[in-house]
Parts: sequence; structure tokens; C-alpha cells
Amino acid sequence: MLPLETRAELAPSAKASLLKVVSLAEFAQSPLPFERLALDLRDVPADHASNELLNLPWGAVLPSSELRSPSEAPLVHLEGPPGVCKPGDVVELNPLQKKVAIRYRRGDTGNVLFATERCNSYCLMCSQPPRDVQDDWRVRHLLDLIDLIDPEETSLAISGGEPTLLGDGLVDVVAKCAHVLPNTHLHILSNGRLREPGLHAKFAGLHPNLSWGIPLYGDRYALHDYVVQSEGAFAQTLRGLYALEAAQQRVEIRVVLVKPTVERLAQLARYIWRNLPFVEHVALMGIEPIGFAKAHQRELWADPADYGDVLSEAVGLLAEGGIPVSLYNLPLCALDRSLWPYAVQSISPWKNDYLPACDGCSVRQRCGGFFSWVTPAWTSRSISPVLEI
Amino acid sequence: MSNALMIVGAATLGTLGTEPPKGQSDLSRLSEMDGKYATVLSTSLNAGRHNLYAGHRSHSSHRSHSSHRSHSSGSGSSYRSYTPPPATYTPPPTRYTAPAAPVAPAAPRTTGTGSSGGNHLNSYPTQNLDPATRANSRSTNNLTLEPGTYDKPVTEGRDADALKLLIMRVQAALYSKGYDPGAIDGVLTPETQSALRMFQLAHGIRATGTMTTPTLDALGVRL
Repeated sequence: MLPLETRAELAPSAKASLLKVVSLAEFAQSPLPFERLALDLRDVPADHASNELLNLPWGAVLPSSELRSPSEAPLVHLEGPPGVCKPGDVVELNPLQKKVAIRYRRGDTGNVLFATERCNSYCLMCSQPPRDVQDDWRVRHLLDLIDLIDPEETSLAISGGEPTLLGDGLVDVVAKCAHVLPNTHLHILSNGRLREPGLHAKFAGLHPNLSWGIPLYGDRYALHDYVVQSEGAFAQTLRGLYALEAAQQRVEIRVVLVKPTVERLAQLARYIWRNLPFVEHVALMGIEPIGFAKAHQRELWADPADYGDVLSEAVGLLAEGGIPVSLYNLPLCALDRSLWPYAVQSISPWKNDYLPACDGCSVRQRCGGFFSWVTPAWTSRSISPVLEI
Repeated sequence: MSNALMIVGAATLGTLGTEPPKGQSDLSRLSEMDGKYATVLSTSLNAGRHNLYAGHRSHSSHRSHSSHRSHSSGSGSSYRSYTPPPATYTPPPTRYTAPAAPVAPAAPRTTGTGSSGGNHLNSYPTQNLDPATRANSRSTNNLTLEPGTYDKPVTEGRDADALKLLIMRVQAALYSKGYDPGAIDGVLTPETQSALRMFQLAHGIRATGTMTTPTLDALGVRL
């Protein structure tokens, strides 16, 4: 686990801004203006860092510890582990709170464009509880951020909150990615609820590699609406799914394995297969034990050791029905071996950890492990090292 | 053309994406796409660009010594507070021309100091500030002051800054490749020249100790 934020000491000339961290090597090549770069000199001996270099109009300079500071340079001393930020990352300086946040981490598989804190659902197990705030400024912020992301980046998620609440702002963000990051796979994590009838159609042909992850928690409206704590959500989400299909969007269905949903998981799999045959992937996902989930542990928690049969049935139904299926956030030792091929290392590195029990495990390298905030109450009783394959 | 490296990199990485597994036909389509780009690599980084600086031997040989502000002392010489006509240099009074490249749109992000915050944006012909054109900006990233991009009477100060910046980029690249150019200060010092020579020898480039185009290509420094 590597935090996405660190305390820092910022010189007065270091202003609030989004900056691309560059090494000397990248400085030699970068087409970006100095104002958008943070020069990383942490490993460069002080005698090589001339005033000429420091006085270029950098957005920030990350100095080595022995560097004496010329008064004007926007020096930023990061606290915390040196690995928290490295060349290629994008950082946001926050002089008021004396913090630096990492908004993009080069090489990380879990980079997110955070669209909004607002959401029109209120899911029992929400890991990122929504706040009703006016944050349309994030559109502008994301457009800025996208400029600084590596064009070679393989994948980004657009998440929130509910990204479609940005309306045309989301269309702008995706259009900008199409221009600057045409080779990056974009995955929009949305509840899919159709509110503006025309919105989904605007994504038709917008980006060459765009897909949507839409949750569905039940084959009945009452079940889905209960899990997302929002009346009418099931109907809206289905309309949204068909609207996405009509706009030739690629759709993934995401099912979080909360207890009420697990109880009808096979029926849900059949429902998807019958009614949503166009989905390109179904992800069956273990619960992330943070946010609202912590308040509803008793209502939500189901031990994979107890639902192995129904999980196998659902996976079998989908796989045999021709719909690719994966298991996210479920450690291998909690799964029947027949399901191992479907298990994916899905937890973003910054919040991924292993338990002491994993030390002697022979399949740890292949296993997705746990969310860093896992507690015994959220741990399957079947967790134990796999000794032989 | 000069986007080739980027595109090949992206195409290769693209095959390792986190998407659901692809079928055989997708794979062969990808390799077909790869093939299309592979040949482009034969074009070198700075092909077709005119390298004004290939012959630049040392700092003192440059005509406009006076406009290299800032080796003497630190104060008042920062790029940060740069205003186009340096004190020691009298520009042709009427003909100053701003760079042709679009610079204004991103101006609100001023991270410079105080009042000069907006000014330095105009002083760097190498930097394209318009986010919308960034994807293409590698090809417009223009240190060479190509004819046509700028009006003829380019000020000496600008030229000198561009040279100094190029030397700094070369020094940075040398340093990051394990050759010691001494301080990264935009001055072609004997140390930097000898680092250049070592680099050139190791890469089978004629060891001139100067910034020839093949040397810049091998260093990954864009003109």
C-alpha cells in the first residue's frame, strides 16, 4: 500500500497546481511547458543543480536534502516514503494544507479520473460515500490533468460519485481523452441510471477504447433498489443499459457480492444472460470493507466459503452462455480451485495488502490479496496459506 | 513522423491492457497495427530539422555573450523574471515579434513569481502552452527557430536562451545516462564537452564534443 497523498513543505512560490513530475532525462524530452512540470532532483547531487537550472520557470522543484535553497525557486520537500511519488506521476500541490496529492501514478493499474462526489444512488456498501456538493469545477481540473497523463497509459477509470451527473462535462472529459489519450482504455464506473434521455447517445464513437462498468444487484427491482437504496433505480439502470447498447457502447456488468445479492446470484446471472446478452464482461466482486459497508456489516457480509456453490453456478451459467466472467477482490484460498482461472488481481495497488497468513502461501503471486482496510469481520474463515498447487 | 516512437510504445503497451481477454483475431489485428508502425522507427528523432547548434563549441565562442545573463551571479538573472529585452542588450527597436506558437490560452496557470508571472510564458519558444495541441506538440516543439516560424530578426537574447536551454537539456540527458557533464547550467563547459565526447565514442558517433544532430538523437534530446 502506497498512500496517494503526503505532507510536504512548500516554498511560497509553489502555487496550487497540477504538475507532471519529470526526471532530468524527461526534462530533456518533454514538450510540456515548464510551468506544468515539477523537476525531480531528489537523487541529483546539489552541485549539479545550478541556479540556471533551478531558475527556469518550473511549477515546482523536488530538491535533494542537501540542496540549499535559492529564495525564488518553488521548492517542495516531500515527507513520507520517497516512493510516494516518482517521475511520470502527476501531483497536485496544496499549499494551504501543506500537502501534495498524487493524481496520476505512472505504471499503476488503478489510476482514476475522479469525476464528482455526488451520486443519485446511496448503496448500502458504498466505498466512496457521496457528498452533495457543487463540484462541477472538477471537469476543468480533469481536462488539465489529462494533458499530463502519459500518452502510453494503458487504462484509466472514470469514477466518483456518479460520473454521468456531470452531464456534458463527462462528454467533454471523454472527448479530451480521445484527443490526447486515444490509445488509453477508459472505463466509466457509472450506476447507468438514465436521467437525461440523450446523454448516453453522445458517447457513440466518441473514444476508440471506451467501456462502461454498470452495477446490477438483482434480477428483481425490489432487490436492486434495496441494495442501492433508491426507488426506481432498477428501471432506470436497465433503460440506461439499453441506451448504452443503442449507442454501441461496450458494457461490463459489476455485481458486488453482498448477502442479499448472493442469495439470488444464480437468478441474476440467468437474467443477465437472457436480457443483456450484449454485455462484454461480468465482474463478480467481493465487498470493499470501507465507507457505508462498515455500517452495514451484518446485512452485507457473506463468507465466500458459504456461497461457493452458488458462485460456481453463476460463473458456469455466464461462461457457458458465452459471457466472459471474472472474480474480483476474492482471495484464491476462499475459492474453489475450479474458479481460480476466473480470479483476477483486481485491487488497486495503493490499497492492496496481504495478511500474515499469506506469508507461507504458494500462490500469493497470483492472488489478488485484500483491501488494506480488511478486518477479521470481513475475512473469510477459509483464509489459510495454499501449500501446494 | 516524430510521433512514431510514442505510437509504437503505445501500441505495444496496448496489448498488455487490463481489458478482458481478446480473441485470436484481435491479436493478429494488433500485430498488424504494430507492423505498420515498426518501419517508422528508421526515421531518426531530429530528422529534417536544422541544427543551428551542431557547431557550437563553447560558451565563449557565442557572439552574444552579453545576453547570457546569469553566469556571473545569481541575482536578477532568473528565467522566472525574464523580460524580453535584457538590460545589457538593446534589441532592434521596432521588430520584436512574439513566437508564432499559440501561448496565451493556458496563461491562467501562472506559477511564476509576482508581476512577471505572465511574461515568461512568452520567452520560451520551446514550450507549447496550448493543451489542445499537446498531442502534436512534439513536432512543433521548436528550438531551432526554423525559418518561417519566426520573423527574420530574431533577437539575440531569444537565440541565446534557446541555446542555453538546449545545452541544459543535453547536460540533463548526459547526466541521466551516466555521463557527468558537471553542473547543469546551460554552459558548454570543458566537462560537458568531454562528457559529450565520451558519449559519442560509446555510441559510434564522431567524437566532436559538440551537439551534432546524431548526438542529440542518441541522447533523446529534441531540437
